[in-house]
Amino acid sequence: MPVLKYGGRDFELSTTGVDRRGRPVDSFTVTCEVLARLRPALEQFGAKVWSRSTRPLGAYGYLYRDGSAHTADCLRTWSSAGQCFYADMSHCECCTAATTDPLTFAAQGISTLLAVERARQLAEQEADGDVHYALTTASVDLLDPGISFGPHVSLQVSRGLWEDLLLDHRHPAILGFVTSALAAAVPFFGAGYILPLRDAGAIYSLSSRAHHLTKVQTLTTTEAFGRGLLNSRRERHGHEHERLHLICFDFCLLSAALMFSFVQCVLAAAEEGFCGLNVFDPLDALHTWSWQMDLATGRLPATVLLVDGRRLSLPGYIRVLCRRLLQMCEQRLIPADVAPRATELLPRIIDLAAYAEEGSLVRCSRHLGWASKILWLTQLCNQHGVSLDDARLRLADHDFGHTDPARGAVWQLWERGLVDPLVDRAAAVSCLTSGPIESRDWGRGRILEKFHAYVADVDWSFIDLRTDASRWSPRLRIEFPSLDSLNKACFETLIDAANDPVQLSRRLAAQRDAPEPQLERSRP
Amino acid sequence: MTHQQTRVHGRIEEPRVADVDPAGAGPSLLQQQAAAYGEIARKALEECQQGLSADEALVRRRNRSGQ
Repeated sequence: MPVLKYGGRDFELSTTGVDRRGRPVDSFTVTCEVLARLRPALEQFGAKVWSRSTRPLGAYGYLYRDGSAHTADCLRTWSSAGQCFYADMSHCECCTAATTDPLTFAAQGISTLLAVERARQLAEQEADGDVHYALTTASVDLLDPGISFGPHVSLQVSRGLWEDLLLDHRHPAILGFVTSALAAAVPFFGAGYILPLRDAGAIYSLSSRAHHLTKVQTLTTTEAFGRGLLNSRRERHGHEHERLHLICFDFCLLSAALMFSFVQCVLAAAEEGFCGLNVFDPLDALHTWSWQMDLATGRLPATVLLVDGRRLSLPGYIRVLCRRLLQMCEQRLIPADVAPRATELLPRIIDLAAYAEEGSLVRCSRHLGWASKILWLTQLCNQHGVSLDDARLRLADHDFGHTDPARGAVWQLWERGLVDPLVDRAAAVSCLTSGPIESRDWGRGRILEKFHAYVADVDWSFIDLRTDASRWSPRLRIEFPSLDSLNKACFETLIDAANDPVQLSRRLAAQRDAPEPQLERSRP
Repeated sequence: MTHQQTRVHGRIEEPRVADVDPAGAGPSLLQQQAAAYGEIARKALEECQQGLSADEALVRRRNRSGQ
């Protein structure tokens, strides 16, 4: 039986700067300057923030500037909305709160961009002289395609599926199905990228990670041109379930909700034993589908071989698979709580696949990043009479998802209604004040907000509280062993009624020791 | 890049994405959308360059690590 598909994102932003003399500012300096302003930035949105620099001086900034790339907690900044911001590989990294709802997943990603953009603006305002900091959702260095910094997606899966995919391969056909579906999802929900070729020239790739995805699975996430469709890092989600860590996707701002729903359905189908539509070579399929767009017509004509002998284009594969998944949702083989909104979102994907088959980029561009970006790049090519490998085009590609609305074309296209991420700005802003109600990130954020003065340490699965304000105070650990621990429905009243950390801890212990009500999930 | 990744691709000098929309949008809507994209493209690129040439910006805005 499929398990609930909680999911979230952790993604490094392209983090750069140029000082008033036109010299580069190194990424870690920019990251520190931005993270140091996250507290005032998030407070402007109504959130509370805790980091290890919060307590000692009660002011933001000082510790970050004393930090280094080796600082133990990566300069983590935790918000009362259940999100986290930190430094990773010198980049500014955002981690969204976990949710089961695809629309919330999309809004979460956008909300973190709003937060870091506010912090970036504050950092620029407070910088000495004319310094420019830049944060973008691009996942490849401007000059070197070998340097990639991935937006990762994590989804909760059953232990059986995780071990099937990454450990014992007891059902290789299911591994084939999941990797085939991912090979299609990566380009279809890709952000688009001008991929420079070895000698000269460039091609347009639907996925900006495709050239790094050359293995079915890897443990490492950093090997240039050697990353896996599946990442085998094992960090369990509680006692029963596993976290499937996917490092293959772009930061797809426009198609985030669609991508998340698609992957939820694929993994739920795999947990039900579905293993149809397997391509013969998933990695070759991913490359073929990513790299062979016909720029003269806007079509995606390249086909790949399936194990049943058929050949399908990318839109054809997506369309056929989504129809099958939709049937499974309608028959409740994939329950609505496992893939919420799938019956609304899968038909949208089917429509987009039909538009892509027709070469209708204008229609695709509303929800698909690669289509929107190639339309914009085409305008620049025409205006300047240049080819794809021109420096201006590469800069425009990189800054398409700049967090500054004046520079990031995607915000301006959204403002004019030309693109639609299926959520509005208000939904994104609301993610900055409270975590998703079904998730432990809501509970952690609520406790952080209510007992802010007592917080001694925070991590994904616990929060340590002092019993009083002194440094030598005993600490109480509030644990979140699973992704639904301390969710709003079950724990709001308890958390709000507690007057201090000791009372909170005792009441939680009493509830934990009480017999649990037996809940049964609906089945057809 | 590996040889395997590049060998299947010819060089494409200039994209010529056809402004055709067989799914039904009329020519005027397509022209409006193309004009909007063009206007946004022009302004945003100026902002991205921040007074630098594009070549200079490429060199100075490097990300040297990743995962």
